Amino acid sequence: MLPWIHQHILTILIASPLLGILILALIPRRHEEASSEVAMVSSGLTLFLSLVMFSTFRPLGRFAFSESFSWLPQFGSSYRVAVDGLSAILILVVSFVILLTVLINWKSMRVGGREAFASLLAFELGLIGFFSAADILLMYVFMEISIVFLGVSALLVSGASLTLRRSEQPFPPPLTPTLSPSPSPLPLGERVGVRGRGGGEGGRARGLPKFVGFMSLASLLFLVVIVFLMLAAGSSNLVEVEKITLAKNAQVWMLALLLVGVFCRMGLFPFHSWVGEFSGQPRSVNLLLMGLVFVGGAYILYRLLPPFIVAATLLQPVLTWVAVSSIVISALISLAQKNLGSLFIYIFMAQFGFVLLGIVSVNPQGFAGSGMQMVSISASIAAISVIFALFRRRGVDLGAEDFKGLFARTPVFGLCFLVIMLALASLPGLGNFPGLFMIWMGLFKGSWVLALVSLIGVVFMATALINVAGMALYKGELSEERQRRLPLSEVVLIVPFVLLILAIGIFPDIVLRYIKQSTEAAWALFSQQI
Amino acid sequence: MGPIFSTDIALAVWKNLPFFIPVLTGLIIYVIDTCWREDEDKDVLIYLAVAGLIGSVLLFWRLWMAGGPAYFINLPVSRFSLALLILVLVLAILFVLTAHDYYQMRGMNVARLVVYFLFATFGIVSALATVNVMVIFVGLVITSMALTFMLRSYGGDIGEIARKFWVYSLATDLIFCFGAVFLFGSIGTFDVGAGPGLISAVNEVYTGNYFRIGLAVMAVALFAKMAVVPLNWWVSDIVYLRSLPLIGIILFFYRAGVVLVALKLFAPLAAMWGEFFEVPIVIVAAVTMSWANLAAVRAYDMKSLLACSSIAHVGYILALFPTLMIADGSGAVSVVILVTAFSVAHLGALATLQTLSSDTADHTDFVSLIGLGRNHPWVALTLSLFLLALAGVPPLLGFISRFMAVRELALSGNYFILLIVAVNCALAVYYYTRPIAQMYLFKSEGVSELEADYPLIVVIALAAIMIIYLGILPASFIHWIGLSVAGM
Repeated sequence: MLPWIHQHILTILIASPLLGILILALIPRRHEEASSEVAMVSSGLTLFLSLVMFSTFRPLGRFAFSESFSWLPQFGSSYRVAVDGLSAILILVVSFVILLTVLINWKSMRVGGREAFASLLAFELGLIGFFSAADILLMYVFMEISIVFLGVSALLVSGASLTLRRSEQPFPPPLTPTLSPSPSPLPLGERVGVRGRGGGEGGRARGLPKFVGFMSLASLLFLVVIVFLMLAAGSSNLVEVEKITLAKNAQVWMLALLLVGVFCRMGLFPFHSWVGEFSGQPRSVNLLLMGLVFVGGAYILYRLLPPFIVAATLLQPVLTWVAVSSIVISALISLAQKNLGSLFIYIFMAQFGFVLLGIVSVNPQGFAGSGMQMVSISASIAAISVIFALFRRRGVDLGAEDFKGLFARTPVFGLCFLVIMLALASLPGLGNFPGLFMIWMGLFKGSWVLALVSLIGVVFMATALINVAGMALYKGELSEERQRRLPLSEVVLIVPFVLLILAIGIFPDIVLRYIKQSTEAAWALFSQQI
Repeated sequence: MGPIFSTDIALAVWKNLPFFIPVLTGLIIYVIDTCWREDEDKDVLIYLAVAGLIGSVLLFWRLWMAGGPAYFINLPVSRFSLALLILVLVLAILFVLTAHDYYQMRGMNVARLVVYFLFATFGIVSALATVNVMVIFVGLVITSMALTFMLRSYGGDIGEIARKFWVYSLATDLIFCFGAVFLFGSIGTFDVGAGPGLISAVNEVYTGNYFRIGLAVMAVALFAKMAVVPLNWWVSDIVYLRSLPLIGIILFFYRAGVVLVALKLFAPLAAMWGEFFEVPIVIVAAVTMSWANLAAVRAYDMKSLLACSSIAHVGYILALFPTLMIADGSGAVSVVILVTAFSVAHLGALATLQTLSSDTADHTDFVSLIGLGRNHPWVALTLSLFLLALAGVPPLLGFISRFMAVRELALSGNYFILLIVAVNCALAVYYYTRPIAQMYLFKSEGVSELEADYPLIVVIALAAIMIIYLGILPASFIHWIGLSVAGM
């Protein structure tokens, strides 16, 4: 039994959220409160299986846990799953983040949570499938599943919160249900939409179309690139696709399409406008989910880059400029944010700009640094989301003012918050530093000027984060409500993240050895092509 | 004096039986309906129609499996035709079942609808069976007449719409006939499957030009029936009908049939028209999908949205027509997959909307969808499933069809239309997600009870299974279509 499980661990991992979804579908509406428990057990099981997979990860060659079944022989596509170091660690991160999402929505989603939890689990299924796919068409299929259910999850969770907040803000205007056959004269955007910038009507109207538009544009661009690669390789097997040699012209065009798709998905400049609209007042769930989508965007670029490596080398100066601009602009925008949710979104966008920078620097240090960044930013995002969730639970809003005096109220929690802020500011010895350092090392080889320019972004980010940290350290007069302390049980939730951030910062090798297993293999391929 | 009923006649009857089963079933139902009293429950007649159609499917399947020659009124029927006939008849079974509950709820005589529907199905079967353009013309006329009578039999205030539909259909049929005559004048036969002789005749400049004019005229007629922009104005009339089954039959079943007829007619001749008509077809396809998608963005009613979406799908299908020139027949396979996804997903969405209908009105506007996710989760889930399939989201059939379309366009080097298709698909995702957001984002206080009868539930379930199964494991279906195309 155990060898069988070991042999099919990836398929079992992909299927485990499905089990939760099926059970959720069978729960009668009157017992809906049980959906939290089902979701927790299902995501807990997935995390357990991920840990089993991760702890037994011993790659023979490039990939481990390879499985393959015929799926679409007409197009040379199979259900082919396998993991290398980077994907194994990312699967672990996903399982952990989804369990966390379930836990932080434990109370708020007890009513109306069946669909929300089911979509969260479907999102998890999509992401685990995406990271384990070793077939580019299969990878695309799982990626799309994850994107669809990201939207659904975010909408359902936001929708639930909006229902609660209706007494405070009249939303949406024409909610009176009617079975009149006449069409509503009001524009749909006023009735349907995710919360926009500042929560205003206009923001809501723009939110949904922009999100759907950017995501579907990215999907179609990825599809075109994947079809092109399949036609060139005669198969969608990732290993075969990586080995093909394309004409330079074709490489340039296809890499351009791929990059536009990645930029749309990661919300990088100049395709960043949907991010603000989608999460003007982001809930912790939105932050978590968007973080995973950003990681997914970077991952697909990492996986599909080998056939375009000549074009990437050719276009490297342009791409590096674009990545650096994205970092600086996102960091600059973060300085202007009054709302902590928006501020962190832009900080994460800037951090993901570094991930892109590492990949397009086309050298082993840059690659490894990008992988490290993906993991460490995910940890930071998860930590920030927990903090927001704990505060939201007390009705504390995410305005910078609301965090005033945090240190004075709860010193342990304040300290944890400070560590996370400093980690995001890339302070040496903390989680984000090793990745960033490696990316810089890679970048210095290509252009030291750009490396210095990218430092401006870090300075902006640090300024924004230090402002927030300053608020937390504020010791002025506080209202009675703000002096209420967080109980120890909740403070404990955040401590593991801080330890993880410290561990990655001080002993980066615990993550780096897995990532290097992946990036060194990728680099060997690139070297052949170049 | 020989025997009245010779073995040859028996054999001929047996060979033609599968083609005539729909019309024979229709006649039997007509006779029974005439003999029965008006107030008698005529539900059983629908099941009789379904039994007839299933019988026909089984016989066609047997013929397909045998791989041997099949004949329709002495004209050879290819394996590709047999596959298309099976597909159309399966769709016919699903479509006829949707009418049961709806007509019963309104206290109307469903038998008449079934009779006319079976005649229309027979028309499409005839048009699909052969590559003789006169037989196709007769099949199209039978379909037009049957659908017009079907519209008139519904009664109420749709007489005007029925008249307009009749005039339009007849006009397009006559245009098709005109093209057929041109074709006859150029090659001396109505049979476009005449083999190498045909190709050498068409290669002559004089003959070739008339041949292509004939094809172009026939294409215009078929495009008008498919509601290609700007010949799509009749669709808005149909959308106004207060009968969801009729809308489904005309907009999704009939048009899917016409698309398959066009495929059947033009695919074997692609080498003869391809280089001449590629650019006009691409332009028409681009205009059709773009116009329809932009119109769908402004739609506030599911009927309008699905109608616009169906026109956009016709645009995607037309965009694939130049790929029919690819020698391995993969273009034709893609078209068949796209037509299957188009008709099943639209049928499923419409059938799901039908569950919301009351005995006096259809509730298809977006406002009626508010809160469905909470009040009627299964209805919301299935409707979302069909809409996501239409949007091309994996792992549903819509994705496979979209993937194959993109693959064929890339393979044939039609990058301009590939770009247009990509932009349109991105736009389409937006309008398909609007009703989903409406269903799941908001709550509705008043919860109405829904009652759907078993045939409708069976249709929705079958359509959902097809969409999911063929989306996840499409290999056998694609292989089957591929084998059939090889026998074209």
